Amino acid sequence: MTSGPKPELVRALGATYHSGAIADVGFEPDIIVECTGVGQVIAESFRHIGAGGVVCLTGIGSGGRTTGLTVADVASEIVLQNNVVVGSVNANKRHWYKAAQSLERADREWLSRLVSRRERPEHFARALQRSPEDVKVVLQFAEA
Amino acid sequence: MKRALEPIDRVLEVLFGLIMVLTFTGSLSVAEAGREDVRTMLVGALGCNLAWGIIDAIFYLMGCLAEKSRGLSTLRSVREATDPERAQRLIADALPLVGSVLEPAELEAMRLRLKQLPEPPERAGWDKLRMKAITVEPKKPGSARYEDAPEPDERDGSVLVEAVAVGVCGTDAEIVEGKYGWAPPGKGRLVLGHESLGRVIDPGPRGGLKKGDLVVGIVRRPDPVPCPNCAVGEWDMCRNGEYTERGIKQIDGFMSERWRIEPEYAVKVDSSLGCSACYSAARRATGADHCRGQGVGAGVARRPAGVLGAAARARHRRRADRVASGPPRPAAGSGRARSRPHDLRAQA
Repeated sequence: MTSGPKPELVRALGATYHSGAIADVGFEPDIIVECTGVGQVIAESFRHIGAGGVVCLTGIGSGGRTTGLTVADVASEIVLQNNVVVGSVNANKRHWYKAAQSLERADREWLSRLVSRRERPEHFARALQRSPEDVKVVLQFAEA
Repeated sequence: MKRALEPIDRVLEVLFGLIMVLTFTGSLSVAEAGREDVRTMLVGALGCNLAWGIIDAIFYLMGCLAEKSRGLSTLRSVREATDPERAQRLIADALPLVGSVLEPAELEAMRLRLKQLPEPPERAGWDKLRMKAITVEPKKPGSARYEDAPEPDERDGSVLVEAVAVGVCGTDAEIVEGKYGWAPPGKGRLVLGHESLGRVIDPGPRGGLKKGDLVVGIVRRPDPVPCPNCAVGEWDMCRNGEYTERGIKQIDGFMSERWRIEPEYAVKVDSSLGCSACYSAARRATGADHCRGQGVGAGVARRPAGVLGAAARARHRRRADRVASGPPRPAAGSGRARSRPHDLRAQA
């Protein structure tokens, strides 16, 4: 994907939107937050993270093809580059309060663009169907 | 479900109204009164009609309640009767005409079924208001429904919240596909939804929330043991996988018109956040600022420039951020409503 709401949201933050392989971004990332749960992307993250960098895994996937890397290969890369790999899901209470504080400071206009589709509760089945343009779909129960 | 008026009642009401109007217009046309008198009479008659309507409605409601009470007391007598024959007689009496043709075996079957019903309420009352909710039978694909559900249980928490919006995520899709999810103990269905935003209707006796506050509900609850991490409030790191989660694991979620929550699990968010979404949507749709004057809360009302001003300030701040910080910050909203069960052992 190179156009549409997602790249626009990233550009609005002053960031560069890359699509394609991690090897082609043109630099060694310090931090990779992996959200897809796809084996190929996870393996690429381990291979191309910069020395001393952190890979944060947040996607939940399963299966997929083997990538040729054994667990020992992956471990060697992580050891030799002093990398940190961390998995994360959910949040403790303090994180929820922190999130509320961050939201309070956030740009409302940019934030509202994250909600890319609103559906009425009776159309929940439609809300569950994903389209490539979707960032976050919400069921609107009442006016805010 | 009893209809407001049975067809026969409805016809009678219509006929009665018609007769009243006819009598009335008839008497008006024969009277040779002046305009002023006609008006007085008209007002009087209207008032009379209205009063009659109210009296009629009250009588109807009282009738319904009495009927319900009678049904309840019969049910209780049947259930409490130690002698099966007496219970059968009570059932036959409660069904005039039909009761006389029923065989004892049929009456006995009815008696047994009545005994199996859940405990009836002490006295007749109006059914609790019902609301709409999205529910699912976990592990059963395609079982999700938008349906009537009972009002949220007070045991879910002392804070009553009106749902504003609920985010949809991959876990919801998995639950609807029958791949994940657990209903509350003793129940067959789970109210879906864990990415909540709601407005407090009743803050309850505890906690610092106020009516009208915008809140987000925390999803996970500590395991009951509790494990060392849950014991210190770090339930994100639950060690034994026995935690519960709203809308996912054993607690009803937030996809219902109203929900309840414990005050310590309701996170207040800035009241202008909800409005900014509304503001932006309205602006995109119509080019107008629809949000102003909708009474969204003190957070906005205090600012003389309203929502437009708040948005402008936010934009200004962002520009400064962009210069100051190089790499992009992660989306501010990402931590707010994110939760996926991570303890895969719990799935086994």
